[in-house]
Amino acid sequence: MSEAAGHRIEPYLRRLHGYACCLCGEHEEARDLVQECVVRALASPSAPADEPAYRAWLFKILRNRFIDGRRRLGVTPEILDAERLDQEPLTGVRRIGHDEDYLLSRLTVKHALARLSQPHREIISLVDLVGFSYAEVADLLDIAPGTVMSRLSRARQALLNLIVDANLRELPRRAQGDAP
Amino acid sequence: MSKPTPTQEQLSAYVDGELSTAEASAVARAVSEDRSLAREVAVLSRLKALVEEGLEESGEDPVVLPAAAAESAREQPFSAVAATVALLLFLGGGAALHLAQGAISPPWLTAAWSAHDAWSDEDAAARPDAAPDSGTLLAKTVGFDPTPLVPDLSSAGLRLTSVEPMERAEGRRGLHFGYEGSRGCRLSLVLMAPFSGLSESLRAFDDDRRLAAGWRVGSLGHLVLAEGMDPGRFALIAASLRKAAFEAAPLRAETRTALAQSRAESQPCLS
Repeated sequence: MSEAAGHRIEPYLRRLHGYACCLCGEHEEARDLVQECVVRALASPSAPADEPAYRAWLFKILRNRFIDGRRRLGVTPEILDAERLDQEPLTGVRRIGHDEDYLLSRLTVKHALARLSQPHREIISLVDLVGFSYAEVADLLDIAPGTVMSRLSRARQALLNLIVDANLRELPRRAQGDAP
Repeated sequence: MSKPTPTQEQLSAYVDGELSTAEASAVARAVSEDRSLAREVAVLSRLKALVEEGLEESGEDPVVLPAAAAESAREQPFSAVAATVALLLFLGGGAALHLAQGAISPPWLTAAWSAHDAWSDEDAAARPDAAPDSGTLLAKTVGFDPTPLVPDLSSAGLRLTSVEPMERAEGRRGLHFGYEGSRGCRLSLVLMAPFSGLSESLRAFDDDRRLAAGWRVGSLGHLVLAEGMDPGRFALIAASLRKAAFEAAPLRAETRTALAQSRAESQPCLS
């Protein structure tokens, strides 16, 4: 591995790991997946020179490794079944209102993300965590940009529904010096 | 005539900055005239920020890398059963292991023990609480050719606490990785390159309580060292690391299970 290759991949490690956690739903497997991805990337003689293309290439490697790993276990990953989810009617669809505003917090969002379907978690992570544009996500998932837009909107609605249905509320932290 | 209300898809794309200029202007105008739409946009924006925070947290401190392609990666059977076989060979001095008791230590083994002792003798209070992050790992190992695999031994109850380059000797570069357990165990993995001192077979060097084992993958020499560790546990760790080095891949699930069992069944390390 050249010094340049090592430095180049380093800024993406955390987000690769976040994306891997979204796919695997499990921390240790996600770590292994990132390791496999980086091994492949560093060993490849054909890393794209262009930085956005390089970033997309890295996430594509990770995604492919995840799919291959699941298939080796005889399992079809849920992310390959996303089109079926796109067709299903969303339950409890409503305009966003006061409840969502009231219940949104880091804790409730994390809790709901863990229960979100894999395809919805994936598309949310690609846009909100990795920072891909809709066009880049469309390219990565091999779907139309319009499908990215609708799937993402449905994913966010499903996430909000889970937050409202769970009806959890994060307690405010007590400030130092407050009476017990 | 009333203007059409933006759809949720449009609001979602508006928050992401993905609408065309004309569409974004239309949504902005509608939002400015309708408090419920403004609330929806505010909720979506806040959700987006909280998702990013939550997912970033889950991606923190990956105990990773830099891992790499082994020069002669090849498939070798390994399982808990194979690990047990390795252990028996290690303890019994079977054909695959060549014990070197009483022999004069080769200079690379002496250098590896020196690195282990220097790290192991450090003041425990001065040691960092956290494992080196991926950036530090990259910085310390970058330029080491071939790229080393930095195994995660948390399943064996050992966490990586130190990564340091060693002094170059006889044209060889060296890297020392220090792993610590919670029961007094300290295990070193030393990588040397270019290296020709060992074959690809696992070779053990034991000297009373000082245990060492080594092998070579391509031009990369691997040495594992520990003092006072249960010999069975040490043998299993060495065999597991060798397998991972040849595969240029993280430890497999069955290996991690075997390592965890071995730790649970072994005694704490003797000081």
